[in-house]
Amino acid sequence: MFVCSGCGQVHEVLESGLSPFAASTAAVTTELAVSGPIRYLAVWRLLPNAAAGDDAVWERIRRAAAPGPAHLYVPAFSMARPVVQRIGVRLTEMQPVLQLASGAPASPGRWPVLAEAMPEVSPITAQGGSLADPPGFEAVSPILIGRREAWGLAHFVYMAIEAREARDLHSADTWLEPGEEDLLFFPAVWDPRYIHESNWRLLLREFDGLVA
Amino acid sequence: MSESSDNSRLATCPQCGAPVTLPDYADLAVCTFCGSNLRREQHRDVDEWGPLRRETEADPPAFDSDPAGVAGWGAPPTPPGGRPAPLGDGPVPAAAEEQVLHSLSCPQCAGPLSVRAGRRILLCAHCGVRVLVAGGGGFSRWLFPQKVERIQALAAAGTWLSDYPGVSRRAREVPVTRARLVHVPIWEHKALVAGWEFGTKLRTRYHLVTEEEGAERLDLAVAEEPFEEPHLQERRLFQAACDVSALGATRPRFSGRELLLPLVAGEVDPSSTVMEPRGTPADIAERGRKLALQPASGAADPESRMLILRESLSLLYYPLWLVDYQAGGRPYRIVVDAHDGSVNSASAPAREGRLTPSLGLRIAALVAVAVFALWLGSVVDAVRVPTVLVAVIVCIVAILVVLRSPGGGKVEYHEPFSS
Repeated sequence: MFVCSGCGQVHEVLESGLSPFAASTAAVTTELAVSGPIRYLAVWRLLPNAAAGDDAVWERIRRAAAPGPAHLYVPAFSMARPVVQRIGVRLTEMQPVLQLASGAPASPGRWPVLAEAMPEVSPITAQGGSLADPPGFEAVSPILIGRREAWGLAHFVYMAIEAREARDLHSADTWLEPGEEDLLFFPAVWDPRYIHESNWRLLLREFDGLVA
Repeated sequence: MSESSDNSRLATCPQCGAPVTLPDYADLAVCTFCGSNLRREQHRDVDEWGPLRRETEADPPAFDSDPAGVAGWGAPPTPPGGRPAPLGDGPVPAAAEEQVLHSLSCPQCAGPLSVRAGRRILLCAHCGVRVLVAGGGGFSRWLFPQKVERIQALAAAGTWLSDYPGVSRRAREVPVTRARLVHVPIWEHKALVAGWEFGTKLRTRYHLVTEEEGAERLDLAVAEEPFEEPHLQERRLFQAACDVSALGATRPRFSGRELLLPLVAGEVDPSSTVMEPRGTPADIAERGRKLALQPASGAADPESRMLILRESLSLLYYPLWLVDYQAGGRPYRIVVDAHDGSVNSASAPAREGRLTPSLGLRIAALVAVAVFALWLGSVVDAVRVPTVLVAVIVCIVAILVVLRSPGGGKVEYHEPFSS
């Protein structure tokens, strides 16, 4: 995925060339004060056509999302395992109610280029050497994970939810049939106090009061 | 393209029309006349090796952004758009196919583009435009830069000969003057895997034990416990693409994080030998996938639900100095790492008087014969003189064997932790 450094339009690489890809930006819905500069984190929101697996897990996700459809969330701004796991699980369990605006967020500064344009940044994390380091991007995160990879990581996140509930993952037989996917940008603040969200304070009301 | 005598091909620079020599092992070349960076493109049924394009007319990368959806647990990724398997099915050199050179310069200003390992987006140093490199035919070729010159390699070999324990004194004084450079190909398969591993592990646990008198003590016990472990990590397979043991070497040791250079024709010392890679990309990729999906947690009865998110295949060329010398009329070799200067492997005659197992066996047999002859002479008076004579002859033979076998033993060294 590419983000145009001029206008912020997200592009996807297809056989025929670059194709514009619709992205949306979630509005800040937190009712608490916000400290620090707001950064926008790229996250895939996936709507599977069908999901087979631990019914209890999927049922709980569906209940959290009701009356809307249940989505799976996969962070696309980092490939660090704890970040993908923690934020993916949190968002999927929370099923936040989003106020979406069309398009990528307006950026006052430079737009990030494709992650591979800066390989000196580790492909595993865009947050520098360790998770404790501040993020290596400015207002808008890069998009490190493509659509296809997002569905692969959705299995990973789903199993992470199952692992919290089931004592034994041997019986887990998760299968998600890929359906629709949206690329969203979530407002967040880098705050090391939020250790359960890998130091990110997501500016959504569902995450109010979750500080460690 | 025409073929030259030394496995090189003569092509024409698309920028200036000057002839460009492109060895079989290289996909990139620099025109010596106009300085253009050139890239080999092969024309097959499907155009696998696309030329450089502007971002606005880019081809999809080999494994990224496949809109077809996830391939399933453990399944290899599906190439986008139903294109052929990106890691290729054919042998490595495809010399028989039509090959064309394409300029590796900025399509906007024709400025030179820098190429670095792992990059598919190049930045024009002249005008700053970013250029996307279309799929690279399944694998790319990279070069470990040669940092050790011939004189340094000879010095390293001499130092090893003089310092390594057990080497013959005569070998330590042998002048070492002959060295030739070879580039050894090594496959590198990288796979980004995500998923879970689970099984059981033996762990030590403390138990509080209350004794009859009311005293308490801690007991240590081994318990088998279930475990689950999430993984999102890059796994790499390095496999020598030629028989390095035939060179008297072992696979060089490296971490995979070294700075590599694109293998460009002309960058490699023309007097060096670039070895032909063995194995097909498809086979290496298959093995890499298989290993990447194997549980790595060391559990008993491990199971995994792993998925390969993306993968890539490269051919890395590693420079080695082969230092040959003779001692006692026999050839020996010291292999010096031309990247970091260390001794990769070496052989030398053993120190004089050093008893090797085979020599020891022969001497023991001769001594046994001599002892038997002496015993026979002491028991049977009639054969005393001949048996003593035989014993003396056998002893002389044993002494001669010891004296004439100083070069029979051989000291060998191989760099640890390499294969």
